[in-house]
Amino acid sequence: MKALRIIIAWLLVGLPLAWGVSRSVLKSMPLFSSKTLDARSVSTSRDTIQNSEKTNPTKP
Amino acid sequence: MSREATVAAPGFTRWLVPPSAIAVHICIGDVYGFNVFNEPLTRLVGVSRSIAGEDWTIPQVGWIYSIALMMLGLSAALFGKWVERSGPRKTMLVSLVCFCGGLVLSAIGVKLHQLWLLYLGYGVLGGIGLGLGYIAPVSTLIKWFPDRSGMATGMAIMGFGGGALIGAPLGVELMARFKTATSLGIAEAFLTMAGLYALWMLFGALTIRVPAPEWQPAGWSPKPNAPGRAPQDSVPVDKAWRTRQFWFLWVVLCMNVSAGIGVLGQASLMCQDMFGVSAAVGGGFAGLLSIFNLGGRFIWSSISDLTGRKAVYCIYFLLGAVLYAVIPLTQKIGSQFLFVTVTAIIISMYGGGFSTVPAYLKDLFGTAEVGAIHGRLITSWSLAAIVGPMLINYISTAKKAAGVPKEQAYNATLYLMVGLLLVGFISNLCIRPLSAKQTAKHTV
Repeated sequence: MKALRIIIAWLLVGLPLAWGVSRSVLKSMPLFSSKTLDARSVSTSRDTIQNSEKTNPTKP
Repeated sequence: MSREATVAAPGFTRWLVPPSAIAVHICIGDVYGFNVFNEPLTRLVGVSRSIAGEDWTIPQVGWIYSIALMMLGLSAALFGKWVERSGPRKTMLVSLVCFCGGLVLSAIGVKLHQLWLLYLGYGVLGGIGLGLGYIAPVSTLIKWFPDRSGMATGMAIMGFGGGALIGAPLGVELMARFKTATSLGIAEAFLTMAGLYALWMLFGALTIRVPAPEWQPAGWSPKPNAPGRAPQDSVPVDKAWRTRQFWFLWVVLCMNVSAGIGVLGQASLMCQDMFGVSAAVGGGFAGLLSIFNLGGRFIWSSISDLTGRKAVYCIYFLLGAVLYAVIPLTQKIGSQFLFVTVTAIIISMYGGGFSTVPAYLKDLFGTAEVGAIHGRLITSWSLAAIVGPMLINYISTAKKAAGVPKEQAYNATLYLMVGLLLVGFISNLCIRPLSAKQTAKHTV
């Protein structure tokens, strides 16, 4: 009975946490599927960056 | 609801306490995900676009988060002694009423389009709930896990980090669900979140117990030369905050937070500017960092049980300073992989800094009023969380305006972070255990 209570208590907090982590993992997928860019290409892609900034506000 | 009524009966397992602490922390950790509401809040009148003069602006809305963080620090500092006196259950229930009540008040503010109600609701009331809900479970866990206090506080504070991972997508999904042609669904999202969080926090408040005064883990007794103080030698909060050790630790936390926010606050944009990647990839990078922030809170503070707190903070500051200095180099050699690796380690140590600090306090001042002392210490976090991003945004914006190429605009900020970490390192080195003279002067 004690073990069951512990399992249920941990599931109650573990499941939402796992959901949050899985969402973040999915969100980070584009990072792993993108090709590493050469630093020299940065200056040529500045227009793209400026456009993308508008849709990506960041905050701590 | 009193502390006496929550003393655990013999046979109670301490492994039920971490879930109750995590339950409260994952709810109040929602504050870090609140930014998903910022942009929609600027379109309450115009719905599809913000109408100048009628709709709120981003700076106006940004104050909600800032007020909440200010109130977190203030309430933790002011009510810390009350938290210790009243016990965790009563504190968690008051935290529930404040935090969820703040969300309800904010929903009313959205419906009536009254910004001051959001400042008062999520900002002031919610912020008080944050402060109370943050310190009460941590202090209780330290008392239950004297043998592994770093690991125990790491679990709870990991929950706070996890709150952002849950709150942000939950907010987005709820807004999408309640959105209509004339409403963005923000008020409904706030109300639903208030209900869900109330349930989880209630579970935490009802499950939490405090150990009996003489309780110790089975088969464990304090090692003779182990760091930390015997309960009878504990230093009360009113005396602890007058010691130089407290203020050195205040600087340690402040520098660690300021430096971590340097990367976390601008992660996505930095990745885009330095490596020319798309907004989606930049967002993915921010998502990855939040996972490392979460994991670092548990892993680093658990490591501190083995190495000692001072040693682990030396690692945060020295390794952190080296890694910050390396970031401009990763851009120079065009290694996105190295950039991601370096920043992920930095952010894991930023999280670790939060979760190790309560155990550090316990080692210095004992367990009796550690929650109240922790409450006063996290005023440094409040300050750093507000001033840090402002400083960093100002420097990088000024550099860009001065014509510095975007990919190099962050270098000055990164070197500033190195400086902050070195200040933290020196401050950490200055922390010594309380001398016999100090102990005699300060203990009751």
